[in-house]
Amino acid sequence: MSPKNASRRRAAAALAGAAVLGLALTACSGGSGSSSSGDTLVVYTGQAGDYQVNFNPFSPTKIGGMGTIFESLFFYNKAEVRDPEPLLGTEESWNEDGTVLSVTLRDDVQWTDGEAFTADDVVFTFDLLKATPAINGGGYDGTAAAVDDTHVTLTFATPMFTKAPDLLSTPIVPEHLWKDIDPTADVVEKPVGTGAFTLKEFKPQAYTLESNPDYWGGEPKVKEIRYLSLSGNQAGADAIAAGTIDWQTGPIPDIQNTHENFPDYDAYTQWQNQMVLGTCSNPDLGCEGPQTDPAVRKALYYAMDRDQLNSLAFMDTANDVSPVFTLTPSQDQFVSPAIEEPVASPTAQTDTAVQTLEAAGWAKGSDGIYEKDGERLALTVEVVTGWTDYITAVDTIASQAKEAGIEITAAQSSWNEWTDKRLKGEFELAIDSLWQGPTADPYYLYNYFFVSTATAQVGESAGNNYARFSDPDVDAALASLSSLPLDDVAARQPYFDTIQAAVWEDMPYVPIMTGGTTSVWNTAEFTGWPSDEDLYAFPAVWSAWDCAEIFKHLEPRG
Amino acid sequence: MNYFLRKLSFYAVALWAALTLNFAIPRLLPGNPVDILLAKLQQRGEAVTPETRKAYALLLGGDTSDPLWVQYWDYLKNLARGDLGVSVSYYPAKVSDVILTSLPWTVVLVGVATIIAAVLGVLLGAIVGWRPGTWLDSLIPSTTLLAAVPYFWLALILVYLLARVLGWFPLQGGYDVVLTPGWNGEFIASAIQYGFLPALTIVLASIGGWLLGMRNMMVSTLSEDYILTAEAKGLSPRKILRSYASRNAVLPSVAGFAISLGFVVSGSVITEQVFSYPGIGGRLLGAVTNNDYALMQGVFLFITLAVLGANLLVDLLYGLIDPRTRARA
Amino acid sequence: MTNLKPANTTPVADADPAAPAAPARSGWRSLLPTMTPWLAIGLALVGGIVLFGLIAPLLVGDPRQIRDQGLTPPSAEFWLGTTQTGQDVLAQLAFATRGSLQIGLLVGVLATVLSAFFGIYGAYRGKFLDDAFSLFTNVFLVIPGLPLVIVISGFVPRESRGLWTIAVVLAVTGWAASARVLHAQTLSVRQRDYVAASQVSGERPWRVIVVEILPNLLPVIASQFVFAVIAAILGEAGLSYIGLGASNSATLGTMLFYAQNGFALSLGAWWWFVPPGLMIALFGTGLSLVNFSIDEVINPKLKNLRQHRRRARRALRLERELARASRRTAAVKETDR
Repeated sequence: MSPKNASRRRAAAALAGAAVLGLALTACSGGSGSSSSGDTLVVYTGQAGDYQVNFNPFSPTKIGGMGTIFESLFFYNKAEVRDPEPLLGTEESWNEDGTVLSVTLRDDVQWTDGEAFTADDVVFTFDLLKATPAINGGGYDGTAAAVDDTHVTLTFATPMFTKAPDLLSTPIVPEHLWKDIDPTADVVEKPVGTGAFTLKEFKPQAYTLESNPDYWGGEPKVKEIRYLSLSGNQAGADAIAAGTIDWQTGPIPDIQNTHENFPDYDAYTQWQNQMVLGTCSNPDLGCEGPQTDPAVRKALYYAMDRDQLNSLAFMDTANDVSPVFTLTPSQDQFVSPAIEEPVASPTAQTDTAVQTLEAAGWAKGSDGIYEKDGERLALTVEVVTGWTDYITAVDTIASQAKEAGIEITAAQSSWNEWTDKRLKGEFELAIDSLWQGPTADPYYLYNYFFVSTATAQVGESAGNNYARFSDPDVDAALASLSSLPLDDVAARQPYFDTIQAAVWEDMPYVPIMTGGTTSVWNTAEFTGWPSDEDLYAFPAVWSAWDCAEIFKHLEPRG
Repeated sequence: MNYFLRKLSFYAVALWAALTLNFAIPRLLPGNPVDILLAKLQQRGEAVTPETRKAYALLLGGDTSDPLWVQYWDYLKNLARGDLGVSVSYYPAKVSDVILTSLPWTVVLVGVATIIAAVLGVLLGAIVGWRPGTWLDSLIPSTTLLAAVPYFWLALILVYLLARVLGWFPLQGGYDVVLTPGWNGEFIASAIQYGFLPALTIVLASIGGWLLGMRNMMVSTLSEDYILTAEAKGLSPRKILRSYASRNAVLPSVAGFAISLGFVVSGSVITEQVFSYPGIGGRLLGAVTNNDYALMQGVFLFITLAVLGANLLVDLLYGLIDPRTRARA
Repeated sequence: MTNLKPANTTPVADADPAAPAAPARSGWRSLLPTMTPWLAIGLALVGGIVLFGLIAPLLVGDPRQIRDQGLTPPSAEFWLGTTQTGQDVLAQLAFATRGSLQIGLLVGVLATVLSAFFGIYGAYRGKFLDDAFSLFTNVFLVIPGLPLVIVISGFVPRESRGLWTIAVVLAVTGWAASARVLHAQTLSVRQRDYVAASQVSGERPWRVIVVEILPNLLPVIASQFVFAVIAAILGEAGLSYIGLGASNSATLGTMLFYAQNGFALSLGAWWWFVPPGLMIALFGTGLSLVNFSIDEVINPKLKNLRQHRRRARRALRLERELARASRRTAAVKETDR
């Protein structure tokens, strides 16, 4: 670190210290308690252990500020297929071939230090990304230009339709402050953004945001938001029981009866992550074991009794899953008509499982387990130690699969080891979940998990496609999709049909259920939470952009 | 060679050996920090693409290709400068900063609790051992029961009863977070209120060991010839208890105390986990699960220094209390 | 305390008249502990739990069997109720107890052997060897056990991972403290005249250690063993609680971990949360109680002291009956001697 930088940081720390002292005095005279009360919303994000100050929106170890302090051009709602919500941008449009993205900016926005927000800040931010590979997580390599104060264009060499949600979700930073700092190493102790909130004070055990009275969208009704650090889910559940936090996303005991047990709270579940038994599926890339036979994967799919799994392992918070991984029901419109079973059966279809196996040449051995060429149909599922819901799920699947003549054993290992095995392909089955892209569109999931560029030989570290699925037709379809606008439904569907047919045939990830993300929040003191009627954001307190939208919608009661 | 000099040089060697182990252990762990960090991001619902991976590998330095001995040399050089490196899981925070924010909490909580437990236990043990067979002896089975209860189990039950059901104490945390940490009455009162249950857990769970150890040594010591001689000389029981029996019986407890203090830091992991206490234990656990080599090494180093320091101190004290030890040198 | 249980009067009465002759007929008989109520309780606890761990797994059903009924309190069918996945808590407890006992025993033996070797032998030989051993001991003292567990489990093949790994790791990280205690004790004992005398008279070192030094250290070793067993069971429970325990095998620690993760306590499912913890606590208590009595056997001074005490008390009662002013116990002791 340069001496200049160090002294600057020290000065900032001193300032922050002074500010904290002053604020604490007012807080003391106000006599507020730590329990939630009045205008302060207390949230727990699942952060385990203390916070280390870091409000740099480009840092992987940032602790917050996305959406609340630093805003993007648009907000993309993962929970529903909707038009993007305008934030710093008001309109966006692509040119015909998807190489030029034009954005109109809001013209009445100020940074919280009083400077005006202009197109130059947007251009600066994108140039900063391009110039700093270490923070360019989206791989942006376009050219940003300011047409005038409120119009910006991003120009690319190739069609970039599918990159729009990523690009427009980039947090915009102020040029007048950021031109002097190192975006990879600065922790931005005093963040200046355009958002509805500003940082009030930071302590390792909790940090507090306060509302921005000059926010372009009007000052939010919630005046303060405090983020607590606790030791994990268990502590979060205890805090809900004690009434010391207003919102957490994680399991609590007897979650179906939250409102009866804690009258101030309600639980709300949304479904975004398909839980799967990931398989090392591709013998061409070095995978070994019975699971390299697609019939075995299919048989597992049919053998599962998903209702039983849901009640025993997932506290009835999981939801139906589509075998082609479109979210059900919000993405049903993308499902190919050729897929006979758009939703996996909630009950076991043991007969179908058995037929599938026998059709592929497996024969039942004397111990009731199928065999083929002297190989028993015995599989090991890798599961992370301590992930009790998954461990229970595997136990349950094991007893269900046994009915279909498949032997399943669980092998627990630490998270590190599990990740390592999965990426290197040294596993048979691994219980895991898939995730969605930046907006509600199945393209992203296919592109993450089924594209052959994201995989590798067994023994080498793969990308997201750890199942080692590889199909040239799917690769070609994905490439074609990337040069089509996201809203061109008719043109895109044939490619989705191709992909889904392959995904169904090969089933490298055996769908279990769609995992529920359950939030428990205080409805006695705050209103305006997302609901089935108005699902304006994905309700998860750890999902920063969604969270910021929710904070703006909330209103304290009384 | 002088006894004290010999001890000092011995501890220098022990320190070097410990430092070398500290270097080696994290490098034997499976997995690499970039993958772990990415996997964590996925868990938080962020999309991870190959570009993201490349970016973070650049940012964190990724897998270093230097030969081991070069890494080792750099490690020793950096340690000598007091530079513990940069934490991966709290990037770009320095390891020393991360540790220093947590250290005081652990040292105060577990330190105070251990001292209370040791002093109480040794005193009670001396009394029980001095007069075996009195009603005090029945303390032993009950404290043994407490010592044999799993820490976290006791803690969870205490939390459930005293904090959840009765509401006497806060459930979790180190202080009321609206207050500002510092030397002001309000904060200290709050810290004591929040620290009471964790401290109570540690005292309850560890007092039995002290008591029993001291009692056993006391009983053994009482049948030594010099005690008999002292009795025969007609010395008062108080004098025998203080000057003859306790002084000799307490020696193993003193040795035990050094070890306990050394483990203050590492042993508090679980207690801190139960109470969401803002100490170094949570950091160590986080570092282990995140493959945060630098932070792990930093925490290791602090534990190492604590143990070696405490032992050195005790060895030096031992030389003073028990001249027999010194005579050998 | 003495009249709690009539059984204990017999051996004492037996020992009393024989007391002066005790050194002559010592032999193996004196190795049998004197029955006291505490010992009886301790033996009953340890014996009962060991029996439970050995036999119960053969009698109960499959502990992993999942049932649709979910969390239910104790009933005629499931004596300790069921977990949230309908697993039989009693069956789990049986297998978990067995697992924990295995770990305790393994670690106890390993750690005691290690600590005795490095603590006693080093201190006895002194000089360079002592320094080397002390160095080694100190280095082991400072290895934090948690990360080591992960390191080792990463290298051990999966088939043999779990119980054994954890046991070895706990032993390797747990012997150093008692080695230090033994070391300190040995240093002291080693200075005594009779040790010096046997050294001067040309006894071989191992004989001096075994015959002259070890008996003095036996109470310490015994209590170190007991504590190693308790510490191992507790250590494993702690590791399991933070998710780093013997992952593929059933122990009381993993059982508590699942109970905790299933919100057993918050849901009021005491039948799931309390038994494993209580089992650990009772087993530890039983061992400690047994340890008190073992101390007396190994170290006859302790026993004499107790008999002394009893006689002193009897004399005191007699004195009181004679309506004389009570006198100091010490005086009575002296007349007794």
